[in-house]
Amino acid sequence: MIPEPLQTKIASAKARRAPSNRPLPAFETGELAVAKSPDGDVRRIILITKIENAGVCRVRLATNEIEMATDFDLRVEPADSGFPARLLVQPELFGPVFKSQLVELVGSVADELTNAVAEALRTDADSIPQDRTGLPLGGSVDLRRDFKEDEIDDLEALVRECRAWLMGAPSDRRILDPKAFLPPPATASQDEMFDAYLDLLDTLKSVDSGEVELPDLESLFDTEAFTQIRRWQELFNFNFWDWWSLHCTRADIARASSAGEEVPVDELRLAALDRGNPEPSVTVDFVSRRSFAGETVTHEFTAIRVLEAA
Amino acid sequence: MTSLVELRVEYEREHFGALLYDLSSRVVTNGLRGKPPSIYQPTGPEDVLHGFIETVLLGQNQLEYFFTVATDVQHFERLCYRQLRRYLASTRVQTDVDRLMKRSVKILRDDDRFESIDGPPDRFFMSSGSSLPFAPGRWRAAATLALNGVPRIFSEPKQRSPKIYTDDNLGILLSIVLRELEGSVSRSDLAKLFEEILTPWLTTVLEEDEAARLPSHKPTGEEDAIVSEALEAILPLLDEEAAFVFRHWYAKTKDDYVADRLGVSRTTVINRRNAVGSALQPHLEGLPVHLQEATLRSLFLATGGSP
Repeated sequence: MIPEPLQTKIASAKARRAPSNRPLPAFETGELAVAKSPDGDVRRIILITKIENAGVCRVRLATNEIEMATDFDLRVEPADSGFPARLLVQPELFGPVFKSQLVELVGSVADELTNAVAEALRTDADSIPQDRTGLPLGGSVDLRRDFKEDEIDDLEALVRECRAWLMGAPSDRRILDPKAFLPPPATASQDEMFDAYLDLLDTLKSVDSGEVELPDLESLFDTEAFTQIRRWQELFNFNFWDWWSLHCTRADIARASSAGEEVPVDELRLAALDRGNPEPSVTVDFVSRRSFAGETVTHEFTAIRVLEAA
Repeated sequence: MTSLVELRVEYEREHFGALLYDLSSRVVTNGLRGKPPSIYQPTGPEDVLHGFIETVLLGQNQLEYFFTVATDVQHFERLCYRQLRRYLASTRVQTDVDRLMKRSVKILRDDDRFESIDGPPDRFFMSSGSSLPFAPGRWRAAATLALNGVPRIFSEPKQRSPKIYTDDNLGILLSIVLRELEGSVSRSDLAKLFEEILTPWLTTVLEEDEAARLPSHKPTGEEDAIVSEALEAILPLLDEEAAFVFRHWYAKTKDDYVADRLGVSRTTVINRRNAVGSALQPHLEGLPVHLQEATLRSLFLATGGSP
């Protein structure tokens, strides 16, 4: 039973709380995003400091343990980032990740601070404003070293695969960019439309043969992407979701669901985060809400309807 | 066991409901188990729980961080525990700073190396130095020397008043700081210094029993003699500037600061540091690593703590 005085504090904190629906990162420098390791075991907030070609970006690891700051680390306040808790961005803990590893946008940092972080190693941390850093790391007896070593383990899990891929190693996991599924603009010619449709079929064949993976279901939280994908159906009467459901249904509903039930988007997102839960097999359909503004039709993915439960 | 999904659903609906309260309670109970009551007294475990929820989970929005990065409920609990440790450390820092302040003021008043101006506010300075307020640009270097140069001591878990510094080393710390600042400090300056030094240290120390950190090897009389012999041979080799360069190298202060203090270029600082290293090398080579470290530590304290 929560004591009465605490309940008042909870109500006050609840009133201050920001909405929790988070978009996908736009893949731009300065974004604070959640990166997950290819095996899904590690999820961490990172700062994007550089965009590379081929869907790769350079990131710096962030943490909530601000007391562990050294003179190389940047303290980021909620007012600076839009993320509700204080963060510590660690310029010395950096590496590459695939764009597909970035699953949620949680905030952003101003250009000058992002540049300060990106330049920290070259400037011996002089680029970091001193009032936002800690004191220099000492010798082997400095206990902050233990913390940094643990952080390196998480960083390694995030960057290992992408770093190996950049050095020429084949990646075990190839994930399609959601944009690969988008139809051409409405103004495209009939030939262009048809070519795009054939490309889509080729793409889906490669998915079916296991050569590549579909992006996470979380991609569908982007309303614009969802709207664009719906256009395929309108253009060619092509049921894209038949393909998608084959590959995503088992992974994204953690709780037991009965046939006919609609599982709201929020709960899907939760389930996708909870890697510790077993993954029941279900077949689903996608539920969306259409809205009209002038001539523009917008589809918003709202839920999954369970067609058949395990 | 509650799943992360259930916690998340409750979080979305109620922000902080019975499931999160139970989990927090479990984390605090387990977190305090085996810890000496001195780290959270005079309050009781229930006050710790409510203070932790109000200050950390709600006030600092740490719940949002946990839900953002946790991969399962066990991970969520680990994140929660780390923040509890941080909360306990912040509570203890205040108590420890108060204790260190009392001891420091006594040393600053009784020891011939220091002088004081009675206030309010009281101000303290080196007998051989200036009584004017210190220049703010020196603060960071002074704190770095104190943090990285002066060894702290771990306490037995049941000890109610951990010392953190021996009396000798506390005197040396004050000497090093005041010498670096070349000016006078107030009580609040000193309290800020101790808080800055102790916060990362206590946060990490409280992760496990301090007893586990107690050194397993105490130097033998023979080893002490070796260190003293090396120190006696090295000290005459270092003039005041070389000692200054050594102290800042040992504490890992930035070269730019040292260059600015000496009025030379960064390259010159690097050259002088190399020269100090060359002077030390013959006296250190051949010693086991732990004795090399002990010699350098003693050299830092000897050059920093002299009148």
